[in-house]
Amino acid sequence: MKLNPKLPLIGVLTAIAIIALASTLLPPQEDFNPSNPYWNGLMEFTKIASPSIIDATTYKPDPKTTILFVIGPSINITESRVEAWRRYVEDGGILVLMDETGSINHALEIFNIKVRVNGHVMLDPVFYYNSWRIPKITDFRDDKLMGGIREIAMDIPSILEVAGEVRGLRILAYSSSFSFLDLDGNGEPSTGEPSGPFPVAVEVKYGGGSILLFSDSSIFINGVIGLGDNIQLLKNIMGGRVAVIDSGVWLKTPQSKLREYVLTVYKVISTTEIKYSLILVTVILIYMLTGRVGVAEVRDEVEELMSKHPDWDRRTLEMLREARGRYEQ
Amino acid sequence: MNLKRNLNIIILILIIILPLITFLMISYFMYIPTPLKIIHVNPSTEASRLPPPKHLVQLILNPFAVMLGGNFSKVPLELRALELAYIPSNLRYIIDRFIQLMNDVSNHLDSADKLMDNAEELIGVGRGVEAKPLLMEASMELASANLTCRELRMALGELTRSFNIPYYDVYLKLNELDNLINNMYRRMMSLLDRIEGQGKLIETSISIDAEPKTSWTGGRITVRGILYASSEPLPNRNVTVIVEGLKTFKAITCGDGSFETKIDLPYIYKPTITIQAKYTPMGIDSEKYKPSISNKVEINLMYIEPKIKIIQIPETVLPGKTFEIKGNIISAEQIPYGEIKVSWINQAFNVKLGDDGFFEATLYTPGEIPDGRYFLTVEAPASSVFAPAKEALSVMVKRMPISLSIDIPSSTLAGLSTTISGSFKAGEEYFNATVKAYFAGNEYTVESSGSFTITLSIPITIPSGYQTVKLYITPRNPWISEATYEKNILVVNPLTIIASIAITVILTIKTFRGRLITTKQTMEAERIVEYGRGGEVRRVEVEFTPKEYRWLIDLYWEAVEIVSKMTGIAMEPHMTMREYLSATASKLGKLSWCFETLTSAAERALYSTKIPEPIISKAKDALEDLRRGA
Repeated sequence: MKLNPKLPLIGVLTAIAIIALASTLLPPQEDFNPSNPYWNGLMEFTKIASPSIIDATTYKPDPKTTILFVIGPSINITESRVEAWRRYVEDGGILVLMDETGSINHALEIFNIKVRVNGHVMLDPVFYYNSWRIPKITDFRDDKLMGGIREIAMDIPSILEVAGEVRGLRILAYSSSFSFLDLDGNGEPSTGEPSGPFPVAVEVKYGGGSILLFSDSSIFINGVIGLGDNIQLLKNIMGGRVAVIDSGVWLKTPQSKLREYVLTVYKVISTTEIKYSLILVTVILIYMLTGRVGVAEVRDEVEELMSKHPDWDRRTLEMLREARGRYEQ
Repeated sequence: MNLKRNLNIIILILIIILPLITFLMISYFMYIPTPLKIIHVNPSTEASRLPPPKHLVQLILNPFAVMLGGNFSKVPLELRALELAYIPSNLRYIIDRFIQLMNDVSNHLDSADKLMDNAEELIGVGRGVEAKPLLMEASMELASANLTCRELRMALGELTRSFNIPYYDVYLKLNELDNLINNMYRRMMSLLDRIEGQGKLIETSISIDAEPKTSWTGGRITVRGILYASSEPLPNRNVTVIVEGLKTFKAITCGDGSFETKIDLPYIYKPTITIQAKYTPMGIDSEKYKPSISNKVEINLMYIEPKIKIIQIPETVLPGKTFEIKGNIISAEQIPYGEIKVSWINQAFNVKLGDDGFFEATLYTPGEIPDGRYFLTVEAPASSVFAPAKEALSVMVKRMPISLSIDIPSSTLAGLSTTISGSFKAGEEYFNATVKAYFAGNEYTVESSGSFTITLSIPITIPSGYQTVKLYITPRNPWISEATYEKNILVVNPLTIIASIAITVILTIKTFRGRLITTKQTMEAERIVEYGRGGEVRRVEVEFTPKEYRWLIDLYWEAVEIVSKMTGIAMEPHMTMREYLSATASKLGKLSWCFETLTSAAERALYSTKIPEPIISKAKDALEDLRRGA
């Protein structure tokens, strides 16, 4: 018994097609993915802000009309990236840095801004949503950016440390006086642990633009954006600009990488020349396939002969065909 | 056949499913460690946890503290903190009830306090009758506060139990609140007593007059009056004269109850002021006489009102540049001061006045302020009878617009570069500026002093279509506005167009050439068959012949035509090759071997796929012999 040699190729191609389709249709699950509809994604943010997803090292958004979000870096930030951010801000862009791990401090150091993300967890035992780890911020100091906001929710934030007088710096929000920095990580206030109020959001004027720094990356994730006035906060800080997210600071899973490739291919296919060529090719392929089916249908030689010579002996013809087959082998 | 087909399908399914499963496993189950761990949790899955009792106590006691301090208006602010604190939804009603009761108590006590203050003021001037209804109202408020306080006690009992708060601290505050209500009640009673007591006192009355009725501000007037107690003059008593409700002067009544005092009026720049006198019994008099307040006397004040007039000011001013203003102060009398104050965008400075009251100043507009209207104020100070003067003008700060002339091609080819050029000026002024262009994700910057040229390189990777080029012109001079310009350029990518057209053309040619060849071959075969027999059968035979041997059939049918002419025997449709050979063999004579060789070769071409080379060459020779023989 001989198997069709084309089978593996057909199988692999079909599998690739299905995987490509599945990777695009199945929602991604990683943190901050703009297409992730689960609690840790940014789908709600995307619905509200309609951001463009870019890599700041390869694409510079228009600084005058955009606001660049850097949300929860999960890989180390390179100097070239910080340099791209710096040029963007100097030319009038607004850069929003959101981080609780302290990984953004490297960028702040290059910017020469004397504000740091502490990196330790800040908990609030009085003003919170459900758990001390989701503090509620109610102390705002700026009418322009914090106008119309009564409370914002954070998700295991850290705090900001401002070293002395920083030129052009404005503290936008503080945690409550009950909040504390959980240095020992036991989730409870312990002796020697600093207590609030702590700065959690600042604005620093830099060049022609400004940098907004938040000590929490999760303010706009799906699970948190609906709490408090977080949506209003997003609208306030956007202030009519076009949102742009730097996705170059996130570690991508194989699925999201594949998804990106598929979407890139789709984007390429959507270009004018490819699109119309594909339509033509499809028409031709359909024509070819239908043609082949037609030929295949009349290819049985015995049937053909029998239809032409009904008086001929079918058995003899079949025997002849078998004999020829044996001879050919 | 079926077994083979089924096996193929199974293998195909396996080939498809295995990579799919692998993909799903990787995507959903494999943990990929990240160098930096993002810290967050799903808020909806977090377990609910109460705030620690010690913090809750603090939030509950704070409103009590401000209330007990008499600062009733601050109570809602303190309660707001408790409202914002995390309270599980099943316990929220307890806190809401507490907040509501605290607000009620606070409002009642605040109202009672204000009513008693008003009443006390009226009693102070002997108008106890008017004060009485106020105190009745205050009494109702205190009663309501007292009742609410009892409810509050119960609510706090439930609150302390539900939140495990030590009751003792709260209990103390409740007792203090009770004391506060009692004290306020006592105050009210004492005010009522005072009203009651005033009923037994001798009525007093005080009346005043002042001269002159018209005076310069800061001038001196004489206030005369008389104080009576039950129609009897009240001598040697202190009387307070109040000017415009603010400044007070003392006077002592004479033996006939009259008093006179000369008052130096304060420098008030109002057309009319009021003078009133008040008698407040002191010491032993307070147990004998009722206090009283006099009639109001109006005094017309005279003063000089200088007018500031700004004569010269530009309609619009430019940021980063200075501008001049000129003006004067018009006054009926010589102005006693030599400077006025000019304020312009966070700057204030004194400007000297000329002898004729004229002034001029050069003002600088900061370069960083945005366009818009700003107030320029000129202020003259108050000086004795000269009232202060102020003139505020709204001045438009507006940068000069840039006139642009930009030349951008409407289309270009990908992979090449294109040049955009332009010039700019503000009015007739050429200036230095930074020109930035954004195109296809790239930024181009040039410094220019009026005209510029930028070469845009169009990446070969850009697909055909419209791309936007954005230009930003940022002048160095702050008084010139920034300018932006946008235009779409049609980018044609020959590479992608050629590639896609080529693929389409190749595919088309391949498809249709196959069809054309097939059609051509079929026609050729039919043509060959036409030599011998009628259409249908020949076509079938040709189709059953391998392509490479169809020419042999051609030879055979040519041979049949020759043989038919030589022998006069036509090949009938029912005749097989062999039948026709045996029918003609005897008449062909020596040439019969030729036709036999051709027949044999044609049979092989029809019924086999392989014909040995000697037979093919023999067949060719045989046909040549037949042709010669014919």
